[in-house]
Amino acid sequence: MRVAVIGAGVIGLSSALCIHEQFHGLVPSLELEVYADHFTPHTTSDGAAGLWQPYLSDHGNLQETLWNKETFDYFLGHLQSPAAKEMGLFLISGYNLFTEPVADPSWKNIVLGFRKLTPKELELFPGYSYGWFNTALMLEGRSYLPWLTNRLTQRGVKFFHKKVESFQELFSQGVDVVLNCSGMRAGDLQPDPELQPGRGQIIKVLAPWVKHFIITHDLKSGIYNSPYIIPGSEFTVLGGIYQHGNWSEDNSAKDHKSIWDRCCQLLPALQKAKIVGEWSGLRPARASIRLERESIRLGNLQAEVIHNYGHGGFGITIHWGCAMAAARLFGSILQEKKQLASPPGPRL
Amino acid sequence: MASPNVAVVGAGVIGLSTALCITETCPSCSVTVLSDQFNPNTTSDVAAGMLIPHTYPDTPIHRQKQWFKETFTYLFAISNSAEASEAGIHLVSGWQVFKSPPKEELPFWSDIVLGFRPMSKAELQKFPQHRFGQAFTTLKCDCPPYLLWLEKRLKATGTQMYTRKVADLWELHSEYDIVVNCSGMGAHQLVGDKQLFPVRGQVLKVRAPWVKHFIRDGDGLTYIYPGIHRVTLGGTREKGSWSLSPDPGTTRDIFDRCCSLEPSLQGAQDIEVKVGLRPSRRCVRVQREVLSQGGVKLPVVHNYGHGAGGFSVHRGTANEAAHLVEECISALQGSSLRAKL
Repeated sequence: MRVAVIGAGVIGLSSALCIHEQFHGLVPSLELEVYADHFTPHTTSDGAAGLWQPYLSDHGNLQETLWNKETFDYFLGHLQSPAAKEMGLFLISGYNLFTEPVADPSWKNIVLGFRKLTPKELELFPGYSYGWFNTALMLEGRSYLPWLTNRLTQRGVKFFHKKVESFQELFSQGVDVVLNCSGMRAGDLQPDPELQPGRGQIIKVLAPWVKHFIITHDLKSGIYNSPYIIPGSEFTVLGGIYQHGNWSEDNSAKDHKSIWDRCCQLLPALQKAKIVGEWSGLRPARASIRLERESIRLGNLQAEVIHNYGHGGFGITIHWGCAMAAARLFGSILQEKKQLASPPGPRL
Repeated sequence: MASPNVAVVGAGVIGLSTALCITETCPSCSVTVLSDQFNPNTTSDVAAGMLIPHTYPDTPIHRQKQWFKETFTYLFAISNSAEASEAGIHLVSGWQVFKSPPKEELPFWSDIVLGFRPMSKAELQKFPQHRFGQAFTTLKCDCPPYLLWLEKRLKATGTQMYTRKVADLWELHSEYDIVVNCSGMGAHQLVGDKQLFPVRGQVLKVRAPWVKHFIRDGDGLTYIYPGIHRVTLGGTREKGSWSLSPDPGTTRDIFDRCCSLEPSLQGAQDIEVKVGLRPSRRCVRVQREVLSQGGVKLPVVHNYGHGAGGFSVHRGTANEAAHLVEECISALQGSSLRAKL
């Protein structure tokens, strides 16, 4: 049973690990392969700060809220494990700021210690009159992706550095199931007008005195178009750009200035911070995540694709719940192919 | 008295902040800081500089609260400004956890720190050995940056600083009009204060930049305080011990206790061990005194004995000491007027 995962960002690698963990023992013939044109540190996931935080509203998409919760709870449970440091996993608290009162988010009971900001705390942020404080998790891509890669390598999963041009290409080589975790490039494999880039740009600075995340919101201009500051274990990410439909992965001087000026206004001490890098990436945005099976007829064969893409700006936040769901879909494929139903022993 | 000469003895956080307050309340004063140690070799440099007050048994609570409030307000403004990183002042959130019910549900400082509230059950799950907890956000003064910043502000006012071991406050009477005694643990020798005693503290300063929260056991013995570049792990409270040498057994014990609160510290790097003697007293001595010998008087303002709470109340006691200096100046001016009549 050959399974090919397309994509080596957080979605591809975690889906691969989830499937291997759950089915390797049950399906002795399971061979897992990861195909990608970019590997860490050159994936979209590597550019993300790594903060667990869904968007403000789930728009009634309870499924996604449950996947977010599954992810949070899973990693909260791993905080005390010896692997946490290697995974880039740690607790972080911080502020969400608004210029007007807003409804509590769908994730208020998922995170720890969610509360409204006190008037004295709001004094720290002139121009903002309302906000939240909570404790969440950081899962830094630059540590987490290599950690996932190591776990997969240890398990004998093979990696191939190539751009897959079509699902057929893999099926004609004898792959039985394809996991499509191609993120922003899913449209190259199968057109999907719902998938659009949400371009982001970030500045990486050294500001080790910043211990909290600070995320501002401008309800009129949309998510992540308002300055945010997210301190990592080595450097702090400054951002605040979300450009729907912009495919450019080049850093823009105009966006740089916007991020810098607005973040320094938010936290004046940043003026003294040293800039150590800059990066642009495309959030694979979609009205909802595409996480579903698709059967593709190839001559007299039925090939299976499990799609898992379109996680926008909350990929890390939701990834484990999605990986588990993808694994369940894989399980149902196995049952249909009678791979799971067979008891151990000689097969007829 | 046109330009009173004021000597401040001591260059830890108390000496430097008191000197600075004096230059602010009395711009005509000529202030000189004298100390046998300057940063990074003062007791203050060992301390984590967390703004979590220590309760002095014999100082009225309202006075301690006022000191803390003034200090917090002062540092809050700096943390919010462009100077924050240079001054080493930053906000940090975290938890104080208790194995048995805390003596007070609401400490006197709970409405001064930010967002003080009891921890939720979910938050307490991170601390399986502890049953109660308080979550809040407070400030931290990193040393040496904070001391360096104070020195820079002092130099800008023309304040001179000299390395000098003062053996007796009286030796200053011919050069200075007023002496401010911020000698911390040194006051035991310098003014023979037998109410002052050391409480030895050993700490580890480690690199663990993923630790973003403070964690403190309510017993005050085990704590994790993340600074700008290093995390301070503590500690000990050895009353009456004068030893400044790090003890390896203690190092192991502190590390183990902190790892049981925060397991990820197992991965901490570059461990440095430091020792400081908290200049402890049942009440902080912020007080005027007049020394006299052979008809010559020397006004003294004492500001020492802050024990475990120096950073938490430093600006408040510095303000009070500066006002006492003003009183000394008025008294001197009054008596010099009388002398002229």
